[in-house]
Amino acid sequence: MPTSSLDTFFACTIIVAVALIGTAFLGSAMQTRIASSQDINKDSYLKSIADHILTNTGSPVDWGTSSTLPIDFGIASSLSHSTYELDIDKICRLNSLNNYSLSYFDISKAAKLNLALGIEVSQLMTVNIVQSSNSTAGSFTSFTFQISANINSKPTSASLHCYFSANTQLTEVNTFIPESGIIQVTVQIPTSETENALLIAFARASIDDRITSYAIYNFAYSTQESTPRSSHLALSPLNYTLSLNNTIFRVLNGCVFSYSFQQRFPSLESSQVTIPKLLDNSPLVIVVKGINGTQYFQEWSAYPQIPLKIGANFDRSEQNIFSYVVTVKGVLYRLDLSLGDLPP
Amino acid sequence: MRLLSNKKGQVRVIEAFFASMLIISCLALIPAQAAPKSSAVNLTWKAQNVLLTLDSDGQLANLVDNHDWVKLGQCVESALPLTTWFNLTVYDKNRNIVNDFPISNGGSVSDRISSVEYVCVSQKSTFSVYVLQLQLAVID
Repeated sequence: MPTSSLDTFFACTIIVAVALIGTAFLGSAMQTRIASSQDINKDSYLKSIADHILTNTGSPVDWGTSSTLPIDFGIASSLSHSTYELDIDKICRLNSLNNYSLSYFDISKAAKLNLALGIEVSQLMTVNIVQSSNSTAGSFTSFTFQISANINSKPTSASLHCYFSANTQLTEVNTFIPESGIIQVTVQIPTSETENALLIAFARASIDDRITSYAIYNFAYSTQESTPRSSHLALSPLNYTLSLNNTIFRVLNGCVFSYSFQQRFPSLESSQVTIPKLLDNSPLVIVVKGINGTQYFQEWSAYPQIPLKIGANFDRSEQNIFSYVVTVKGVLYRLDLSLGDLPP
Repeated sequence: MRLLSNKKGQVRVIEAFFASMLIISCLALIPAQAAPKSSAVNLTWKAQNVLLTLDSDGQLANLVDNHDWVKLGQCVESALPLTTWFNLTVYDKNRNIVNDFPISNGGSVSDRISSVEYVCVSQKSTFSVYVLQLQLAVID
């Protein structure tokens, strides 16, 4: 065999080998690229669904204000001035404590989705109340609370407005939480009124007025409550109307609190009472006082009813979380919308 | 001996070798052009959401007007998850940087940075136009 033929054979072998390796390499590279592009397509698709839910009013547009079931699911405000502004009543109807709350089935049906859905709404700033001490002198008891404010677990400065609501007394404390995020607040109330008193604390972040949060401390259980523990009156706000069950228990009076204002209900004799509209970028806390036999009690509800969590629990299944900062009646909240994996 | 002395086909081997190198180097460039990861896409959306929501009542433009860079940084940071790095740069209409010190929460945590530009207008009578460039990154 001539040498040139042998060399040509070697050259051809190298070229063929490189072509084979190249094809295999190109195949795997393209496979990775296709998989990556599928992931992006899936993310884009799911994100578009999440955006649609948050920026669409749904149908009928005012489904939040009554017991009507939505035909098309969307929680944006119909009077929205900006993107990601949600309807206060549609949010309330996602809370299981509301009289007209939607079930997961209702939401899933209205959303027309063939995948798992979950919605969680929480306050942007977290306010924690811990009772650090108390002492009784004569007919009065002094309580000292450690109140802290943080955003994303980072201490933050905020203006603080506390209301101590007891049977016959209402005491207010205005103070400022420094950069350290913690402050001690002391209040003195008659010992006879401490049993079922509530501490309602509103904190407004220094960086933005729209970051206003509330926290409730219940003296009866000596603990902070994120959702109302008592349900004697079944307080349920919707469309600036408070529904309450006043057939079994005697209702004494009630009050609406915001960061800057508080206003008493003129009358609570009816089971449907109008909630005063307070011009304040703040969540509202509604407190109603009543008597169960001889036992005095206070019950509260927030408007909008946040924090809330509804939908699938995504236990051992894929969960795609889309986190948003949204506005509800001029207050900023964090909303996590979870969607499951796409059907095959 | 005859094989060693005969060098007629060696150029083809060298040619084939160079051709192989050329093909391999071309293939090596393919992964570098890979599509962006989905986390980067999510960050772009996140940045848009944060800027749109925070400026819904003109708050961002107001802070820029007052040159309150510390508060502006704190506002953006409060709206982002704890593990997200951000860097905000404010430009005027002529693309000159307005903020005199960096508005950021530290050094970048990843090379994969998503950037979004947002135009906001001052609510003052001057109606100054600002371009806010928000860069986000998360740990890979």
